[in-house]
Amino acid sequence: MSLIHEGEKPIFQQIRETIEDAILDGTLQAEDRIPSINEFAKQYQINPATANKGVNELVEKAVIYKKRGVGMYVSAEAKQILIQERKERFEQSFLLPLVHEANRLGITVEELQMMLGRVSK
Amino acid sequence: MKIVVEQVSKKYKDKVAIDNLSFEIEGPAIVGFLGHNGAGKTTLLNIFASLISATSGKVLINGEEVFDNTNAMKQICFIAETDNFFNQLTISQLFKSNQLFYENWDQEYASQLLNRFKLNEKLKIKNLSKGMTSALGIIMGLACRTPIVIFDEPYIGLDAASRSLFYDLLLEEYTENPRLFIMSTHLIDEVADLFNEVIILQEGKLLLKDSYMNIQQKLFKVKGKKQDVESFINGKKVIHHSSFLNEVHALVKLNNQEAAQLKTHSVLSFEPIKLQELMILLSKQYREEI
Amino acid sequence: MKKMSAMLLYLFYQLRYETVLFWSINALFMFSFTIISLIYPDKINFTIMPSGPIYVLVIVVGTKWITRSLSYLLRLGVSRKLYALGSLLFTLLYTFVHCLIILLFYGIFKFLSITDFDSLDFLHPSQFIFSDLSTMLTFTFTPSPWQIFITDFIIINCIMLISMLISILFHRLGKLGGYSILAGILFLFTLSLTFGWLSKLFEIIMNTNIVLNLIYLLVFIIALATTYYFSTKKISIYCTLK
Repeated sequence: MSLIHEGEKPIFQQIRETIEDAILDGTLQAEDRIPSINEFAKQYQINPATANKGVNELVEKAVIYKKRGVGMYVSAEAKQILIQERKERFEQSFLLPLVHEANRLGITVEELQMMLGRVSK
Repeated sequence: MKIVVEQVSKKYKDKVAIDNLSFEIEGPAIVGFLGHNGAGKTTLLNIFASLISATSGKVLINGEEVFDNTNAMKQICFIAETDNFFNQLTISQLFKSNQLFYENWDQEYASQLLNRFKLNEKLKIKNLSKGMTSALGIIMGLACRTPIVIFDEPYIGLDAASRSLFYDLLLEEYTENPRLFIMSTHLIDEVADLFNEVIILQEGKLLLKDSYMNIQQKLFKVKGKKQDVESFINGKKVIHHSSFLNEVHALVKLNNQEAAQLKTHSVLSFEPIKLQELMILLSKQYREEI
Repeated sequence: MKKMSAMLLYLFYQLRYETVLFWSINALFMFSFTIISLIYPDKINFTIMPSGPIYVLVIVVGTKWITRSLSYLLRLGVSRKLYALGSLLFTLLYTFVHCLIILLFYGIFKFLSITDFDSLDFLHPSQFIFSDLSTMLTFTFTPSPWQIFITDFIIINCIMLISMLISILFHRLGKLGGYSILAGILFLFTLSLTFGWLSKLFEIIMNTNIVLNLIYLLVFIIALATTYYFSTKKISIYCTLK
């Protein structure tokens, strides 16, 4: 997710992010089983290869692991890994565009801080 | 399963339908065959199935030349828009005759599919509506269980729900009995996500052949203010370019680095190009291979 | 040859309805007129030629041959070579079956002693072929079953092959080309009538040994078949020109 002006993302990315969001907001807990590739393909009406790519990116990040012959599961460290990753991207994905837009509108740093205070409640 | 197209050309008296095409398709896969009207898709697919002859060049299926070769021809099931079967037969007679020719014909599966499309096997084919005939063609393509199935715009007259059913069935079949499915279509947005690979023909020539995922990672629609867009696309491969007021839209092909640049760009708006929009933006004059 | 038998079965399926329909109507027609001329021997003198309608059937089936079978059989995986051979084989079988049916009709009529009635005459080409000019005109010559069978087989086969060739003609050249060629043939035919070439040919045929004539006809059939075989090379399922 970002404030960068990105239009509709590639489907494999959408699938990856759907799983990530589910892990981050607690719908998927550690050691929970996620649907199989074929189930994803059927649900979204997409090619299994596409679903596979999205899921594999998560396997590479160790967010998901595969149990041969049984299925795919959320790893114990999944939530931490994702939080860390998104924190690192936060500045680039959210803050930079925010500052850019603020500059465009002439909002000062003090005004920003006030807004931040208001919104955080 | 492998289809090799070797320098195939098809010339008619007044036009060149296919101009020296060479490429390979490997299965199992779901391959999308796209192109404007008259680009040569149907002609090429007919040549694949040995229904018409090429003027020059040859098509090989698993190493064997396909023209007039029963071994190769029986591995392909070709479902065209119309006229797929002798319409004086009833559906059950059609299935019986299919059993004679297709070694792997699955009669039980065909009956199940008839139910799902709500067709009665006692109906005569000539009394079916366009939509029902299309459904029958789809059933035939799925139940024949040949290694290669070609669907040339198979859903004339099918309503949206039936089309969705078709996509579900196609995926099911592909998952359980992996085969090479080649689909030529104009309803691109509906099916694009099903493709492993996309082939685009233009004026009889090959314009693009790549995996669907690669296309989504290489071809981008970039939007923004004129100065920003122009400075970004400078030196990169631009396929289409249009402007309105101060906004410029550009369709570009990027390599990995350039794509990464774009994704961290703070000002420009971008998204991977959708296939249907790509087909619309590709003018007939665009001949360069993408 | 599994594909060959599959193809023959397929053609049988295709033509089954039409053939049965034809025979029902034909039989009804023949028997009703037979009965009428027997009941009213003074009013109607009926000449039956059982083979005649078959010629018409075979022309109709033959001229539609390519349009009704080529496209579907190619799609089902039959190669052009196999298609040509299968068509020719089917022609032989189809002709054979019909010749048997004609014999059957003769058998029925003879069994019921219908042939002895004055008000009913039977006409068959074999009467012309196996007798000479003098006896022919008296209608007293009764051909044997073998003669009937062979004559029918050769004539029907010829007609069917020629019709199938015509169907290829129309497929490859479209309506314009097809009709032009047919007109050309008709022109040649009329020409040969005017110049008396045909009557000369007729004389030669009548003066030649019957067996030799049959052999020539057989050669003619083989020539037709070969032409058919080679005309289907590289043929496309689509009509070349409209």
